[in-house]
Amino acid sequence: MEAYNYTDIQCPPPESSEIELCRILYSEDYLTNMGYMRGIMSKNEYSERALALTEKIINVCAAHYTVWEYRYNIIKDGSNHNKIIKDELIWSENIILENPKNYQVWHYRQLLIIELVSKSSDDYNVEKEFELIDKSLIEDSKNYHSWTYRTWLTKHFKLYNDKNLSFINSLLKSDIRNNSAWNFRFFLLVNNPENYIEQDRKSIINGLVLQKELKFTENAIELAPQNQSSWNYLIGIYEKFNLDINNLKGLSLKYSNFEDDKISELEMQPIISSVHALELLARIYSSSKTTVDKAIRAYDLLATKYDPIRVNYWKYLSSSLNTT
Amino acid sequence: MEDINDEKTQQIGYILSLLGKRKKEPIFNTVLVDRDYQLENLLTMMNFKDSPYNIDNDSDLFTKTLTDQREVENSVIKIYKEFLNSSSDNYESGNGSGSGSESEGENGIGNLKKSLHLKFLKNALKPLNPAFTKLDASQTWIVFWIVNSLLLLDQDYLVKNPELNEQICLKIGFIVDYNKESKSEKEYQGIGGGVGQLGHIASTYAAIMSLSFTKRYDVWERIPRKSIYDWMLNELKQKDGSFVMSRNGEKDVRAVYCALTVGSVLNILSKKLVENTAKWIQSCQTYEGGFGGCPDNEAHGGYTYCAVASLCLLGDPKDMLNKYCNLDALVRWIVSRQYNIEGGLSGRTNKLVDSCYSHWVGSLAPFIEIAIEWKTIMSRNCLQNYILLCCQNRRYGGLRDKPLTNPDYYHTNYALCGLSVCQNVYLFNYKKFEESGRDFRAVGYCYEASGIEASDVVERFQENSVSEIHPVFGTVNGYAQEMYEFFCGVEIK
Ligand SMILES: [Zn+2]
Repeated sequence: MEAYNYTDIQCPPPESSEIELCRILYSEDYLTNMGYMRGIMSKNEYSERALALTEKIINVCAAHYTVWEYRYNIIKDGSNHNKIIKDELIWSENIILENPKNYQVWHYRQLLIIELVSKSSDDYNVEKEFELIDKSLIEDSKNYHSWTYRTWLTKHFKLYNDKNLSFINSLLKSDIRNNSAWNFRFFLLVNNPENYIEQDRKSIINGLVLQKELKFTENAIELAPQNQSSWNYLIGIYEKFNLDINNLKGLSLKYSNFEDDKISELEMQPIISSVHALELLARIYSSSKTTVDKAIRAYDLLATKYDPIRVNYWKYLSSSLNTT
Repeated sequence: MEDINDEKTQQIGYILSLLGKRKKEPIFNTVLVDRDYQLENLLTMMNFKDSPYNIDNDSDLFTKTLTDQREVENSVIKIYKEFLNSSSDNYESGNGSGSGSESEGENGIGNLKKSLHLKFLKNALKPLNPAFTKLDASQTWIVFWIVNSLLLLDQDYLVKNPELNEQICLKIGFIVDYNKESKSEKEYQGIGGGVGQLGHIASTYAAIMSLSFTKRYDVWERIPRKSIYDWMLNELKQKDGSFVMSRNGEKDVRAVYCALTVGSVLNILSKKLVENTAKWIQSCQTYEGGFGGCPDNEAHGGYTYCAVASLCLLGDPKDMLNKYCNLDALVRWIVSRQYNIEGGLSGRTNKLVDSCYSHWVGSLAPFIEIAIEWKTIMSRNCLQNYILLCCQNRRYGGLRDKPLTNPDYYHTNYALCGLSVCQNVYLFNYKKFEESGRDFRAVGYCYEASGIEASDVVERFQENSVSEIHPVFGTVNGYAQEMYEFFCGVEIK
């Protein structure tokens, strides 16, 4: 890095050092840089040396949002705007990979992309962003910040394409319990306009797409019946598209290993494959007056046998059936 | 089939086999009766672990999620078994009338090590080592976590330590004033994470709540409420009802929560400031039932807390949670965060337990219990077991995320908040709210806490009991209210 001279800068008085409470023992270097930074910010100097200074501070404290914001203002102000932003994208990539759980770095990137696209005359291919996001998700497949950024990018530029879905598929293939991937899958399914067809002037979900998705989920359940992610996804789809939950009776019986007509028998306490299946079964039973008794029995089994930590919840659901 | 009528016998049989010792049942049974619920709950949990009804997934496909989960379960089981072991050893040696010295008072491993945690926290009152430079933009947070923790451990801590109270006023007051003096009133940009830093609504939350602890009216009067209001309205508030964290900052439900709590205690909330906000929060609920940070993001404990507590600052909990979210799905998602073996709470589906969610998720219990009118929806006792047995550092003090991690101020504070929620039930005083004319600005001050019955939760010894927490503000009860009442009588300027 080029050495800049900052000695002309008047540094405003720093921290009141007589306050002992939670006083951080900064390094000499950091204190000096922070002093210059305050001086530069107070006169709104947008320069090369100001930019270099922000980097020095960010390297020590990546969460310094004030410095990040100042850096953003320098970049926005700069001449040869597009070139600077593209350099900035390359620079921030490393910072992101080093600090993947930092709010500021990801948000800064978002600001840069918006800035680049809004003022750019050349067509910047925003899909290039997926390379970085994919890289960070391969490192940590549940990193909330990476997913937030992916969601923003996809939504903002309407990138509901197959490439996006196939990355999700590969993540789910390596870990079928990755709930972040399931959540993103749901987002793609619901928001991709290509999944809808026009019917009677209304936009409705394409039946084939829906069938394919349900099949995918059932396969996932088969692989790991106790995986709550896939059950949540399944029920999520049913609720979103107003499907009849009774259609899931067979599936829930299968993984709870109950026989429909025997659930009320007290000695019926099989080893089950999925608590979530039994929960769903109870829910299906509770939707009809004729089977409420079975629902109560299922909740009782959940409370006493299969899922005791939620005993209060199962009792609550059961009691709400009693009263209605 | 096993005899389901005699679960206790099963538990005792189990624990005996676990210990590899054969004992006469009656002795153990008597012990259990005058033992406390902590032990009983652990027995139930460990019993479930090896019961045929526990779906252990072992025949399922193994993936990283499951490997990680097993690792944590095993570390927790080891701790629980050791505890049961040591408890039973004491009985065996015939220590008094069934309470072994090991498990009595602060020395018992199942108890809250108050004096040790106080010591851990007091270290931060001295200068912090250079590694804390990473938290340079979070200085108001460090103060907040520490002081709230101290007050959770000892309600009178600041009364007993007036010099600390003075330090808080100086430290936070300096940060507040610096931005006030360097800019004209009009340009005031909120409170930053440190001296000379840009206003940030989360730093502002931590600063204002810290000042609320001091009860120093002279310092409160210096808070530029009008400027903070203008800043929130003109710079942070978005058309869609959401807020951003700071100028050019990110937008998520944390910002909403911080803006509403700050607005509430400073008594500067207006209809205009919260226009469309409930609707925007509603759009963050996911198909799983919890809330994400923004629409379409994954349901997450921290964001769900911010979303639900925010809704509960906009109206009475029952009304708001029925109107602005799918309450059934929310309840289901919240209770799903608790795990059978650990007893602790996780922040997302298929993620690991972590003590900070004892607050982010645990403190949601009061809201939903009020909304669905059900006394206790979570297994408070099991959560308390997790916090007390798995999350305390017994050598240097402090609380940690999970076994084998290091304690820090953040986890110390939120684990203690969670412990507090375990020990209290909350009511919403509808009468008081009606008397205010259903004024949403007063809604945060209609909660009433009462200690939970012993049969629901462990309070083995007085040492375990911590101060009451306010479910909306996440601070020790009483302080937010006093600040709000103070500002009810002060003109906004
Ligand atoms: Zn945590």
